[in-house]
Amino acid sequence: MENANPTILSVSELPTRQNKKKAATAPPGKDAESDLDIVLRRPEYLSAPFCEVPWASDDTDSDDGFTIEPIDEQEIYDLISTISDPEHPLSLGQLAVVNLPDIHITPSPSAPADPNTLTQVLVKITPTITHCSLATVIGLGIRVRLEQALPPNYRVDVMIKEGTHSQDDQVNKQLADKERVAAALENATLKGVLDKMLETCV
Amino acid sequence: MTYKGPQPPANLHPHGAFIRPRPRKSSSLPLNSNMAATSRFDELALKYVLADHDELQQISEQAAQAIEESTDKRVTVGQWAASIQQWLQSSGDDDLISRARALDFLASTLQVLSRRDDTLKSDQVALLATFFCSLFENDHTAGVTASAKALRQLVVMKHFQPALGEKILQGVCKLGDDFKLQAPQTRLEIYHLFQSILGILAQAYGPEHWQDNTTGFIPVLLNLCQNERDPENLMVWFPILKAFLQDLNPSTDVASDIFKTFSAYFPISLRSSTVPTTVTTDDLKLALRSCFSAYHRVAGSAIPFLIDKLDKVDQTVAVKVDILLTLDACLAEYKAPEQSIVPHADHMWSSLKYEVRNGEIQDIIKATLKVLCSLSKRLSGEHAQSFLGNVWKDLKEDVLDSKYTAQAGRLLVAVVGATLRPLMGSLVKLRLHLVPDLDFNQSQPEDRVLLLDELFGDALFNDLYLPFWKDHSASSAPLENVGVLTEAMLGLGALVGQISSRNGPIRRLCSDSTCETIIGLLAKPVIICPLENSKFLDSSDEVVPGDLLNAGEEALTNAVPLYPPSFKYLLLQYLRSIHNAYQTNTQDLNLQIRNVSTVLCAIVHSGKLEAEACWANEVALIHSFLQGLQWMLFQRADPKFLVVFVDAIHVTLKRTLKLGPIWDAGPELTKEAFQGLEHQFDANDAPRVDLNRPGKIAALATKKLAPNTHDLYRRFTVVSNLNSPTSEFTDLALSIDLDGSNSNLVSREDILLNQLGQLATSVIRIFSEEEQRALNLDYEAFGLFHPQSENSAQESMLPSKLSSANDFRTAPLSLGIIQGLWPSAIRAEIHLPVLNNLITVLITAPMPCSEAARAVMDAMVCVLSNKFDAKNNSSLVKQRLQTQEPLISKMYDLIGHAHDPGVTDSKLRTFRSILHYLAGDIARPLTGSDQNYLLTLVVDNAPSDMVIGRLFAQNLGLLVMPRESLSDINHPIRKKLGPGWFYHKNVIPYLDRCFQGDGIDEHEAVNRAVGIFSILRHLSYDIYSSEAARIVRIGIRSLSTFQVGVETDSLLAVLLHILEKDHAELRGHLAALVQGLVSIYTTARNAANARNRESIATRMHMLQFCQKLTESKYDNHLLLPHRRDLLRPLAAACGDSVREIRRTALKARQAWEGLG
Repeated sequence: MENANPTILSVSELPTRQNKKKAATAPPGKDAESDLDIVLRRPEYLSAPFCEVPWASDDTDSDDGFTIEPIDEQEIYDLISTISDPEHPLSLGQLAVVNLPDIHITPSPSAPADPNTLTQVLVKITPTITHCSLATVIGLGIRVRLEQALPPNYRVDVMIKEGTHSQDDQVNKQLADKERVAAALENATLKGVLDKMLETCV
Repeated sequence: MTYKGPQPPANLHPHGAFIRPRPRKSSSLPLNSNMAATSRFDELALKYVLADHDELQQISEQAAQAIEESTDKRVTVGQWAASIQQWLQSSGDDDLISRARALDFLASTLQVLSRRDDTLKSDQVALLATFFCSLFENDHTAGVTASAKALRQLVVMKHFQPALGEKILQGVCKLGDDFKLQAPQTRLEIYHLFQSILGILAQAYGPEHWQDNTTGFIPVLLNLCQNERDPENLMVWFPILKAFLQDLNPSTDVASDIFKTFSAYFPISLRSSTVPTTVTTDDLKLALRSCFSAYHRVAGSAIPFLIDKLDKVDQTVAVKVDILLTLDACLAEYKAPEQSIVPHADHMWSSLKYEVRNGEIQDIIKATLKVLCSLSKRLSGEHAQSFLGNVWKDLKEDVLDSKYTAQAGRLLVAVVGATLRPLMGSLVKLRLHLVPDLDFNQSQPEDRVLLLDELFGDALFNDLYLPFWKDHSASSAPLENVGVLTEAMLGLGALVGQISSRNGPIRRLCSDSTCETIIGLLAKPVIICPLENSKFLDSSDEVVPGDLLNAGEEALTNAVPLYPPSFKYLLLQYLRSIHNAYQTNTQDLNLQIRNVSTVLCAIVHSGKLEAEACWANEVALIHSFLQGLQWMLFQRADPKFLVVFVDAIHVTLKRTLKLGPIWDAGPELTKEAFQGLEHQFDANDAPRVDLNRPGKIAALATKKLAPNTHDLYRRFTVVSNLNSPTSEFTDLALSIDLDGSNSNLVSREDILLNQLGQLATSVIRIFSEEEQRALNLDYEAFGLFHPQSENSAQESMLPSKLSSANDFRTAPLSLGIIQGLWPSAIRAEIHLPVLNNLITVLITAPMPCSEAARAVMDAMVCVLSNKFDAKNNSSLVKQRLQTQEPLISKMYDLIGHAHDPGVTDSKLRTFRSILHYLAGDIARPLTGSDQNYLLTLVVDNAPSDMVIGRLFAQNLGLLVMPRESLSDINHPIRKKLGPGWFYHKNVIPYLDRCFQGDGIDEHEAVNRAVGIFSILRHLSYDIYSSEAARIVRIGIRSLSTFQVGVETDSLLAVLLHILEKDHAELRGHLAALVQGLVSIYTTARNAANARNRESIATRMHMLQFCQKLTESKYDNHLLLPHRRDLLRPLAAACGDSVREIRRTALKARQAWEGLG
């Protein structure tokens, strides 16, 4: 193991979507929540399919729990931060190999999702040490995960973040080379390592 | 040089007097005449002297045997003793070895004899003992070992006289200074001899015997042995010293001498030696320690001695630990602690505290804490209190000083004991100097842990918590303080609950005013700051940091039950803060009020309150919510604020109901009682608790809510038609607060009315049938608790319709009451006219009310059509069925007429009202086994309508959809087999008409299928399982004919249900299914209404279906052929606009990828 002692973030420190929402609306009483909800939800006879009138209360969420939102950086982060590191029993998120600010989506995800628009996802990874020999494998893992999880109109690029690896040019070249990526996936040993890394993804 | 020592007692002749052994020169001993025997013992003795080591035992056995077997034992013993005479007479140091061996001959023979301990008579024992004793005086070279050995055998013999023991001790002491010159082995033999004798003495005489008799041999013995250094010998010597103290009751002087003797060894250690020994330092330490702890009367020397040693600066860790362990043993063992320990308690404390306070070595600290723990355990009564006082005085400042908080905390915990750990623990954690849990176990008896009032009560709070809190909770304090404050809050919560140490009735440690101050401190982050939106800490982003809020809630939840009156304070503060906040900033205030109300609810319902206190607080809580509501009304606040209070009351109520298992015990509530309660509410702020009826409290609590609801109803409505003809029932309208004059607020006002109605339902459905009747609730459902005008002619007037004032916006209030009533509590005289009136309103076009009001009326028509108590009275049933006549004719109007696009909506609305009406009826068919004609008309004719048949069909599910108003809690009339019956009559006959042909056109076939799936999705699989195969076929066909939206939503829901329950039904249709699913998904996603609820639900169902397919036990070879067709659409679904769908799509995609 090259880097036996990396900096580790605790899971609670990682960026998540829940925090924002909770802070805004969730009532603090834990078990009271469900009870309050029972009362606060609109009466059944005013809900679909009995009735379709809008319910103007500003403190209840949409009742079916669906949120129409485009794929954003946080969602990409959620997809890849749970990948396990090939060396440590920790996730890439915990090791800060992937970071939310280093994920870029073009065009910006605010536009309504159109299944035919080509969208590019760029993930820049930060190896735990500058001579990490497994940076390529990690990059490959991220690439495989995203290709398996994103729709066909998404193009995935994985790069080493500038100045974080001594041989970033070479690693980037390998990660961008489709032929080499395809060949790597044919390699049974490498495939085994990747499967192991992706096992922890949810 | 000649031997001048004693001679063996050969004159043990029975008649011979004891002749003192004489010097060799003087004579030979007077020998017995039995020469043969003499020669035998002489021979044996000689043999023994000359023999090798391994034969010795055998020879002594022979000698013993000869003595045993002889007929005249006295003579024989004499001969045996005389046999060694020649060596005693020998002279010079050369014969030392022979002489020793010869004496050993006697000793080892005795050893054999002592096994059968009655061979020698007591006078023989005494003579032999005297002889061997004399050797200690005379023969310090050859005789000591053998004599000691022989004496050891003698003292255990049966006829040994204890009185002789003391003599032997004194005899041995004559060794004097030669004792230390003896070989260690010899000394060991002597120590063992001492030990044996002491054992015999202790056994023979009680401690009283030694009262004034101890100065005898002990000092001499101490003097003799004081220089012992051999570890093995010490292992015997220490127990001897211990035995002196424990068994011989020595006088103070002697005890002090003894103490001097063993304390000289302290601290003991073991030098490495070439002689191997089995004794370890620890053995020695333990043996020595047991001397220290043996006798409480040496406490006066021992404790100061140990403390003094401890205070010496240059002690090593091992020594210090030894000292502390010894001290601990003393404290644990000493009897009469009042004399032995109490006088030294403060001295010990003043020395020991520094070991912890300034100590660095864990072992020492731990040992010290153990000592303190033992110490405080031995103190009781006023000694304990004064000690504790002393301790607290010392520690108070340390606790406040961050440098010493942890240490002071450990000391406190050790001294005060385990039971108070939560409080003290929090005290210690105040500055986050977390102490790892102390790992020695303390168990203090419950009655000893009461805290001193004057030290730990208000003083603790005022001296410690309050200044600390002030320092750390200033709004400018850094964010890091959250951790400490959190701990402090929990500590404060615990402090409220501490019990006083004073005698008499149990009471709290802290005074009421302190408790209130504490509650006040806790209220700030939990109630005041959130409501008033003032930041607790400026450095934080949040108004109150989450951890702090949670800790505050927890502390309050703990503290309030311990001091129930404090809840009133919280409530007052709650109302005050709401008032303040409303004046300044109302943004999000309703949400904050909701959150804080929830906390208050949680406190009341934490399960920690006594039932009675709980109820008292509950009433107070509801009362406060009502006050808040009234205040908001007075302020003419936005209805959203009013809703919060209504909801809060509702939550409290629901929680109370959950707690109340004692329902049936509730007293019947009559009209009079109700009015009584009402007056009570009017007269007082809160009703008094009737404690004579425990167990009925929860019931009462709820029932007492009724007047509140009643007040609210009255508050929000007014009598509107005062001027109308007196023959009519008074019409009621909404009061000016809610009359909809501000059109922006109408929808929020409606929410308020609906929530209020729901609250009323929760209250009313609790009443029994009799109570509901007694309270005239069927009347009040439309009279809304307003007294009718004073015209007496109206008293018998019954309501016949829903108030149409304000476009029927009072309907939710009426529904609220009706929904909770038992069928028998609704009089037919009210029921039938109102139902007729409702039906008339609902089929009137254009609609005279809003959509929302119509939904309420639809619900009401469902409730009324269901809850009709016909009492098997056929005329009533007939009247009731007549009410549906207008609906039947309306139904005819709806179908089969020329298409008029403008009225589609209105037609559909009317149709849906009819379905609501039928839904209530289906649950309890009034018509018996006959099909209700209206129902036949709806099921049979509606879907085949050319123009809007499809829309009708889409809504048929309303007939059987589960609904709250018909759920058991609201007392509906339900037939158990209702759904099965309905399915049998209204679904099965139409299954065949879902396919084209045989007089059925495509249009009708599709409409029928739409209707059937709309119904099936609300039925359980068991009901339609026998037709599952046909239903699947219809479903597969419908995949291509249904519109994406409601229709596909129902279809997929049913198919998914079948897949889960019985996947074999779908097995033959997989290809068609997959193809159909894909096309539905694509349409659903690309359709213009992709964002509408049904479309989203359709997509979700499709993806769930795909995922379930892989989990449903189909063999892979059945699924694999479809993988290619599915993967691409699933990949595309990963880009769906709805996040939850993307998540499901990813799961389905992975499941299909992973196949094979």
